[in-house]
Amino acid sequence: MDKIKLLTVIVMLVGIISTISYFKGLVLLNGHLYDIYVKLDPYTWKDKNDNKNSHANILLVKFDPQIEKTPEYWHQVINNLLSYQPKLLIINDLTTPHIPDILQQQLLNNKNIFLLHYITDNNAVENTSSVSPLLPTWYAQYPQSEYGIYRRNKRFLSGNINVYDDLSFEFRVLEKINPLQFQYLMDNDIFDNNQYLINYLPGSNYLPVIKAQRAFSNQLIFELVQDKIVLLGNDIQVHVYTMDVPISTKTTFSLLDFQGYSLATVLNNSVIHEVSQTGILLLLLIQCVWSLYIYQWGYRNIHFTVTFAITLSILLSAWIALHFFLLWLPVVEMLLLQLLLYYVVFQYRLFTEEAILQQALLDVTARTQERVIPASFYQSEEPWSQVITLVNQTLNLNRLIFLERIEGDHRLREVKALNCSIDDIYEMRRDYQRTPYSTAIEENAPIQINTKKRAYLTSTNETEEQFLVALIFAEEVLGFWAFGVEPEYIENNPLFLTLVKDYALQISELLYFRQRFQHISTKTYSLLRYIGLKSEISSQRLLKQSIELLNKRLDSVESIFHGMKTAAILYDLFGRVVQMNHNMEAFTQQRHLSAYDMTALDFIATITGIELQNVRLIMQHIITEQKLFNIPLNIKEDHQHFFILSIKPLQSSIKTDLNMDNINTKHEEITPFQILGILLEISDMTEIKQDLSIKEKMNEHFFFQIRNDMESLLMGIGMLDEELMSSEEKKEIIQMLLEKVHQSSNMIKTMHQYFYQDNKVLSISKYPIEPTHIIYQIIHSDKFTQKDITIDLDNSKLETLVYAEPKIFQDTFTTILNLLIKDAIEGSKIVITYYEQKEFLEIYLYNTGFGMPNKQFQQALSGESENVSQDFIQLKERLQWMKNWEAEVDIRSDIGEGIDCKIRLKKVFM
Amino acid sequence: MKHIKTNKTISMLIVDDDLFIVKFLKKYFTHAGYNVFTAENGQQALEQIQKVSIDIIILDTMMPVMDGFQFLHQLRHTLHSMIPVISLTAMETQNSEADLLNAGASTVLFKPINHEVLSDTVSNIVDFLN
Repeated sequence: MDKIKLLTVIVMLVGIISTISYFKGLVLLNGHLYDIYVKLDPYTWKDKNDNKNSHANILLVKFDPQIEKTPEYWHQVINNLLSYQPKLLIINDLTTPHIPDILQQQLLNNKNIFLLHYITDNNAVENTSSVSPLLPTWYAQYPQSEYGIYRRNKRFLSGNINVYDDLSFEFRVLEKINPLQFQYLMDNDIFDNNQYLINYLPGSNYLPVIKAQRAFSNQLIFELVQDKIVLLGNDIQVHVYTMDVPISTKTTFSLLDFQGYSLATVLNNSVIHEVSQTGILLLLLIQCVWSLYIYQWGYRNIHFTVTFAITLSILLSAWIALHFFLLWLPVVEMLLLQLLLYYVVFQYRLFTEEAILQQALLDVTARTQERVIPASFYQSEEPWSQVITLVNQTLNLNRLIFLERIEGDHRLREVKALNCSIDDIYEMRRDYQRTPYSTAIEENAPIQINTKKRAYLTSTNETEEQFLVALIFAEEVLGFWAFGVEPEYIENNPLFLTLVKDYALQISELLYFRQRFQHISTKTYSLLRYIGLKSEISSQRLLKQSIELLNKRLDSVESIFHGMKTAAILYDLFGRVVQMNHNMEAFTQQRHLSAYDMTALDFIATITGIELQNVRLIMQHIITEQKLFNIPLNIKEDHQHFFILSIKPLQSSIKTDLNMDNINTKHEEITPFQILGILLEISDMTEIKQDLSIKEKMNEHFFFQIRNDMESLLMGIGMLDEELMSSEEKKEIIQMLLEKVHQSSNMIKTMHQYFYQDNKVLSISKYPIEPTHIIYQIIHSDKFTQKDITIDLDNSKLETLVYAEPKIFQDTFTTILNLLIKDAIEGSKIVITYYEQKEFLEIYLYNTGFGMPNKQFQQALSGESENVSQDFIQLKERLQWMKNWEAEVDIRSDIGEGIDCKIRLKKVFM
Repeated sequence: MKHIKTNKTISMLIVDDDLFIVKFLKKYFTHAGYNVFTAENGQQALEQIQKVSIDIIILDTMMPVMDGFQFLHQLRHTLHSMIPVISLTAMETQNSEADLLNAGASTVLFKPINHEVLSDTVSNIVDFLN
């Protein structure tokens, strides 16, 4: 819902409320509120005698209607009152339906005595006919109540104004005693619809009241009557009983009282003003603007507080306006508007936030989906065919079908099927709220359907077993996968059901995206959604699904990180550890390094041996130049291994948009905060180094051999120049030279092949190696420190290349040495010597040990014995491999003579 | 080719596992008037020394059965012989020369060598002996 729609709705609200107010739809509520407010008189907290009656210039004289009012009675009362010099005497003719002559005389003789005649709206003529036109008469009409409450009075009388005076008596009184004020009120039209709100604010006992009997018996106080407008009337009228007015009073309220308050309102110019309809409209609009301004600040959760505060302020303002400014505000209209505004703004914010959240979540899900599955994948059926084919090929199913749940329906529909269709599912079993679907959901794993009891797919094959899997994503059931398979296939594949479950997870995700795509493309709006009664896919559900995707993505990334062959540790830009993989944990543990307690600088300095200052420079260079940096490690306690440390910055994939025209850069300059962190990787180059070392040795020997051959050739060529050599001898020399050239060429070819061959490609094939070098490394490794044994290694400078696979040779020799060491007597010596023959190199090892019967020893070697050690088992296997190099191993033992071994390896250069 | 001028024929022992080198050197020095004996390895060379009187030895370093170092050790420390030995080696490094000299070689030449250089070296040693 955009802002224009919001404003439209708000304006409509104002219009509706104004219209309702115009047609008096809120009178009842407004009236009740008005009554309450009138009774909340601030003067109730003050002394009631505190000049409350100071403005009351009216006196009410109440007649008991039961008492017969004789002409003499009237005469006495009027005379007594007149003696106290009242300003006016107004006699309600309801007190005496027939006015006695003596009273008429008094009316005619005194200019300040008036008759007050009440007329009804309909019977104006009839009513007025009972009054003599000669008598000074003012008129009044019975007030009209608002739902039983008498709050207002009329200024002009309605009915036949030709017969009677049009102004009500209150205004005639005002005209008589204060013509200026009368003129002012008549000129300024402050009355709405001829009605005015009577001011009941002074509360009860505002007007002095005396019983007529007191007047009759002349028990009056001068100050009570002098200069007052005295109203005479019955206490309780026959026609009108107690009037309901907005005054808290325990006594009855008569028409006379009503007259008195009405007259006091007019005389004191204390009419309660009301806001006109135009004013109401303007007020409501101002309220809208003000409220919208306030609502834009803060989140939805404080809107309630704001609304509450505004409501309170409206109520308080209305009270203050009424009691201190005699203005009655349209409180109900304002409250109603405020509540509706709150609701509308709340809904608007809800929609906006939900839209933002949905957009953010969709962005996140799109990023997690870096497989970049295009929309066409979901549009066509073709990709599902590929999926189904792949699944079928892997699992060797007879038939399968993917079903998806239809939103709002309890049935399923077919997504894709192979060798079957949805029609093959028994009709009664297409309702996913029943079994077997409910079972599949509960198990969240493939379930086997008992086809004998109740088949799922119409079976054409009696032996076929049928399975059903629920396709669940983010705890939501999206569909089902059913298939049939031969039982022997399951028996032969123990991982079958595990594979099925794995596939189900992937298919669930595909189904999720398919449904999301279809949902987005058919999105519709509805009025119900706007008014909050019907929402689209809820944000919570979308959030859950996105979290599920992110979790899967995170799991994949983490498993890749932990599965890396290199030991890796990631630091943030401030040098603190973010994460390390398993290999790095093992690396640091082996070398007693507390990586989590060290910064990146400390860690690098420790493992490389480089000074901290230089490491700092390296890091600065890496960050600014965005380059990879490799450093060999220097771990003091570990000389057997060779590691390379790679340091590289990880750059954020979110590119910043530099949109400044003033930038004149040719290269994209990366700021430090676009770097996510620093990645350190430790690669174990030991094997590679060993392999290079082997090649290096091979080249060295080749070099020597070439030099040797060159020697022959040079010798031969030189001798051809000798004069003393006969031609026959020269021929012989030439023949020898040719033979030598041929021999050398073959050697070069062979060496060339070996040079370019990766000796790891075929681990059991032969390769030219220098065994003495390997043996030297083995002897000087840390593997053989358990016993106090001396290894006497032949320190001959012999360096001969033989054919062997370096790793297997290394492992074999290590195994043999292990056997000798385990058998050796504590403190004894193991001797290793070399003996080079023309075609072979022989390596002799022997110990001074306990030995064992040779027959038993050979049986252990050949695998004929049971319960032999791992060394014998490994050695047996490796001796088999060594035959490929034309190598021979002769190892024997005897009791008391220890073990001796001869390894015979074929030389490369003979 | 330098012909030796001595009162007696100089006996030379050529020790090398490379048959071509042995043949070439034998031919060459025979023509030069030397009495040349040959051996394929250090072990055979020791046997020869004990059979015949050898005046000078041309010794290859890398040989099977017994290499040049082992032969020199045997020659100098077991047989206590002072026969001059010209050691030929393909390992052209400072260490290898020093090792050979320390082992007992009289002089070290690096392969491949010019036969004239070898001949001059032999002549110098013979002159010295004379």
